[in-house]
Amino acid sequence: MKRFLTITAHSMVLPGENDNWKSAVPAKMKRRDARIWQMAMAAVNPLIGATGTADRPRSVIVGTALGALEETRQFLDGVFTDGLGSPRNFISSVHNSIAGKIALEYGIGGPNLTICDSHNSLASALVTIDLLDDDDFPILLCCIDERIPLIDELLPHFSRRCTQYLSPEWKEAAVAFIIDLPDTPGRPVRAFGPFCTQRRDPEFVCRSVLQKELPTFTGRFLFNESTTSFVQPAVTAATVLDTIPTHAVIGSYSPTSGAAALVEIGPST
Amino acid sequence: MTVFVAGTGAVCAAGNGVQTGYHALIKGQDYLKPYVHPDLASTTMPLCAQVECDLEILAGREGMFRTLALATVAAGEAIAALPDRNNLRLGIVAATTVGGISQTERAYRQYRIDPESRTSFAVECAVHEPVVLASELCRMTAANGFHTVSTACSSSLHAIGMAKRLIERDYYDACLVVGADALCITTVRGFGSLTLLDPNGCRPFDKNRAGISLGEGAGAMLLVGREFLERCSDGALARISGWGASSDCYHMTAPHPEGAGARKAIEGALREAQLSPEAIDAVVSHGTGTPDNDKSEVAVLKTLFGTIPPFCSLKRIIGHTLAASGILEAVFAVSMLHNQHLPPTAGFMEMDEEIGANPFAGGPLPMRHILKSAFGFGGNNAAVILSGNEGGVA
Repeated sequence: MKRFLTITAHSMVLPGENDNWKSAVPAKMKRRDARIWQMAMAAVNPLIGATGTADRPRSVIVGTALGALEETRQFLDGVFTDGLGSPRNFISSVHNSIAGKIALEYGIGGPNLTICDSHNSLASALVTIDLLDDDDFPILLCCIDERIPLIDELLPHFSRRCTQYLSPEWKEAAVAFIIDLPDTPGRPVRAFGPFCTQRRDPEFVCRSVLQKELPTFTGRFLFNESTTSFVQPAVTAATVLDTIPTHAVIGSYSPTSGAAALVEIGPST
Repeated sequence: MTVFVAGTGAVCAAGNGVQTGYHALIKGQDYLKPYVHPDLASTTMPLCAQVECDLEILAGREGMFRTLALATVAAGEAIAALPDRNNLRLGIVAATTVGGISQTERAYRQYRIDPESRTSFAVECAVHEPVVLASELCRMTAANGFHTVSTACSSSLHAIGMAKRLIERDYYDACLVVGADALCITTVRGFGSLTLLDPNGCRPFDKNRAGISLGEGAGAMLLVGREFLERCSDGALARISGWGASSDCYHMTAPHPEGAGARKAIEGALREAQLSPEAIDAVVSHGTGTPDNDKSEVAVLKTLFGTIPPFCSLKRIIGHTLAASGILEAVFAVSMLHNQHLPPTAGFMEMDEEIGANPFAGGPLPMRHILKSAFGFGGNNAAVILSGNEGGVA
């Protein structure tokens, strides 16, 4: 049985639902830095910025499906327009630029890993955190994906399997968690997966895993609520932390990889 | 718990297969040629280490994106060492930076010319997500699950470390670790935009070094715990003794001048391996050939080791293969342990007084522990220690 870690604090930014989200972005970043970096900072800053309440983390883990999509698009536009891409866009477009920027901004010198497992990035990142040394805790986990107009334009043309799990109302979000060792006060959390599903019914697969791993579980099982976009499982986790004080399990499924995962959140300790 | 390397696989400019690549490294052969890409035909292209064998035939499937084809070839070689996978929990840990972006580039270019091509663009960019690499390998090997790590050029050393601990902490009985990256417009033009490409080909640690040479390839390792070692046809090739990870917190692209973060990662790997610095017999360096990287890397070795152990860089032969570089070079380090032979650093001609150390000239060398390091954008550092016993066999 896998051990529980502890969520001691969390913060979420939903740009689509809050026009004022940039107020938490450090002023020096607002003009030139990548928008997805700004989203990350807006989520992280309330936790560990000047006014943050959490202890300074020692490590950074980022979970993202697609990383800095807009920077990638802009870089390619430059290459295809005049043969040159902008070095700023190139640096930002690398998947781990978000984690690198967070470490640089807050002086976090421990392990710095970016996990890219699509809709299952939260679960995969939590398993990765369980692999780190005790000295690496507390750990800042940031799950993030941005929504760009180009994807909206392509969305109707994606396969049915993809559009089933990427709704037209899909969210972009940055969700930051502070994860600490077991027995720290907070909400216990652990993850299972991602597991290959061989393209079987993903909810059935998640429920089968749930039955196998947690046979006595009787709390809330959230699947449809968490599979509507890449970062939605993390959004659902934040919502669970805010609104469900009891035991809950979040199922996730990635149509791109055909894999499913579970995140279990326990009642406060 | 001891985690063993039970199988290895490699494909790179130096050839298909670990043995072919290793012998090319020992000979110091040069594979750099002007990069060939159909969409960039009219422009001067930098020297790159491009894989020239027919990957789709080797991978056994047409239409694969190039990074996946590379990964499939290397993974196939490594997993062959484990013919019996019954009742064994197999995990995949994949590392990539570019993933399927070569498809996105082609489709996006076409879409800019003809916006009506958005349907085919939507189909092509379905492989843009890095996770596709791991999930396809998962299907290919009938593995149980996977993780995808993307930390630029340090990715696949982290993947090795993660796989080691996934086995130690009972998530899996065995892990197939694969790092792969294909050459593409984004990386060739991206590193060009940063003026990091040496027009004469990279010259690691040389006085006149002026940048990197990009390459492409894939490396794969099959890692198993002792309990499942007897199922592996080649036994133990080496052990993964330690993994260390850190962040520079200094600059998004330039390394810390004294290599403070790199040192922390190496110290972490030594601590996990329960080794003192003096126990390291050789270093297969990151050795990219940029003025900053090579200088800071040797600075770390000096402060950490006092007397620097023999070190080498493989980048002139196989290029900088980005996310694949860590594991690809670690795979060759396993061969170095086995053969007790450290290759020369091709491209090195003249000592840089500012560095104050020459790489190993190449030749037989008794080795029990090799340090492999890799550093990436974002100030990302990784170190792995590979160990054999006396005589090189684990």
